[in-house]
Amino acid sequence: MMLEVKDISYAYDNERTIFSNIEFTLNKGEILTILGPNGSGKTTLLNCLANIFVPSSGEILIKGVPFAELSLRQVAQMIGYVPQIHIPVYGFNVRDFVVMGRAPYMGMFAKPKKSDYDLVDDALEMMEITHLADRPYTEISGGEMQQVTIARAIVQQPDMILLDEPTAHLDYGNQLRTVKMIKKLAQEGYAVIMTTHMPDHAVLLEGKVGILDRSGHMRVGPTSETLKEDVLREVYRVELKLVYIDEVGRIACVASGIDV
Amino acid sequence: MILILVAVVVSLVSICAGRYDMSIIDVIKILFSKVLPLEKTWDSTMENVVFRLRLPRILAAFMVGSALAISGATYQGMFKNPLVSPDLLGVSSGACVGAALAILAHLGTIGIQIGAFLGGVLAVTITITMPKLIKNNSSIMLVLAGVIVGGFMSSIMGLLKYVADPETELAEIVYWTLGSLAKVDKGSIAAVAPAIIIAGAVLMAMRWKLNILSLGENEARTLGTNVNLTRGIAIVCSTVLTACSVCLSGTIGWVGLVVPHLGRMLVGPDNTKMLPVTLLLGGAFMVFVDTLARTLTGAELPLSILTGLIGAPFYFWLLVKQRMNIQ
Repeated sequence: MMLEVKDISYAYDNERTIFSNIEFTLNKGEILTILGPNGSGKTTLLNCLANIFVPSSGEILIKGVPFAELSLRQVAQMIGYVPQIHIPVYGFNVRDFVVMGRAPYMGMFAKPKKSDYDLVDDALEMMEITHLADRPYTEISGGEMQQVTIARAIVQQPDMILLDEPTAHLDYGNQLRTVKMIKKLAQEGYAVIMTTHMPDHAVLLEGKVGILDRSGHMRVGPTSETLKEDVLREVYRVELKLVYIDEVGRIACVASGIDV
Repeated sequence: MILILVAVVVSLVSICAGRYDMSIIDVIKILFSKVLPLEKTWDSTMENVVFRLRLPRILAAFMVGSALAISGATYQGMFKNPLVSPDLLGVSSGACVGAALAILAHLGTIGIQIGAFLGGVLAVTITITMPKLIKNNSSIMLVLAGVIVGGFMSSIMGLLKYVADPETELAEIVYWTLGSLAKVDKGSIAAVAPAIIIAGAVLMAMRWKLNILSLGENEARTLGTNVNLTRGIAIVCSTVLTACSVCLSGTIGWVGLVVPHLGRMLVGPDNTKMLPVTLLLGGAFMVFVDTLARTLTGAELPLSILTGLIGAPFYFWLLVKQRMNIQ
């Protein structure tokens, strides 16, 4: 088993509980889409899985070993993290930015070598963004930044990739291209976990879905069984329908008409 | 490569310039006479001036300039803010208090240097202890602690100036805080050079890690970086560099802020290229400024006056050139 999450909870200052009793497993090549309303703790949960936060209770095992027994570097060699798009202060070249994914393999006083840059070039090629290699990271579009940061995670040579709302700030086309890219990552063998606000993305990705509700519990299971109208209605507090659309051959989540 | 050449040329010109004028040919001959058997075509006064006065001073200027510039670059990277200077965590204001105390206690030049070093290190120590007390290790907390310590030290400085004898002590304090290399000799250079070289070498060796720190704490952590340890080493090295240069020259403004900008403009923000370039630029800039300081007028001009007069308009020019890239 790639990832085992055993009954974890998280509370800020041991007072305000964000979520509790979260439990699931994920295998190589599987996708978990985490849904939940604003403030339900999706990002906090993802940060725990990324080893940024330590859960208040419970434990997380990667390849059978608890996080607590691993160094930051060891975890970073197994888990790549793609944060939400943000514009950094310094405009590193895309290549110099992506090569930072090699950090988990390098000591305090090391610099990236040619072999590291070779991996960078491979990752850029895989993401089909070789043309961006020498552009400053601050001067490319949001969708391109997303691809570049995924390339950085690939260069980490992890077993699992986590993405925090990879479709936020992207236009409709780029959102769907990102979803497609995530499916491709799973086919390459990575275990993938992402958070999103769009139930449709869970449908498109066809893997597992985790729905965090307002009380901090998460229902996890195969999307086809777990993504249900009543659950979504309760979680998002809006009228919606899951309908099968013949023309596209899949289920879609659509909101009812809005009465003001 | 070009920058190394620039630094060498600036230094050579600087050796020639001064009250006692010398030709570049003579200077080069004098310098090489130590290693090559050259016919002596100069008098020993010239040799004395070169080896006793100008060479040590240029060495000191280069060390001070590059030390301030790379610690400024390190802080700017680490705190994700290009407006940060090496004084951020209170090292300069602490050094001022230390030096002023030594002046009031009439401890002499060496006493002032030691006082400045201790004051600077103590101020930074207080700054980095504060976030630990509140158990919040974010860099914002560190910056706020630096503001607190800096403000507190400024007030103590005001108090010390207020009680100082205006005729002698106050004048000396003010002169010291404006920075000068006039009192530098071989002894004091030899005393601080090892620390500057070691701290500078450590920063140079870890300069790629500074890139990672500039991504922010969480991202650096997910890339397997122990942020507290890495940042700690960088802060210690930068503090040693700044405190040592303050020891030699008193406080000098602007270099640590402006020179890294110039470096970034020339080669981009990647510290593997930017830090060496910043080191050379800082050194060459300081040698240049110090040469002006001792040749412009009959009396020595304090360095901070010149770095400010040159640095501030220069900074404006840099901002004009970069205006598209700064949000």
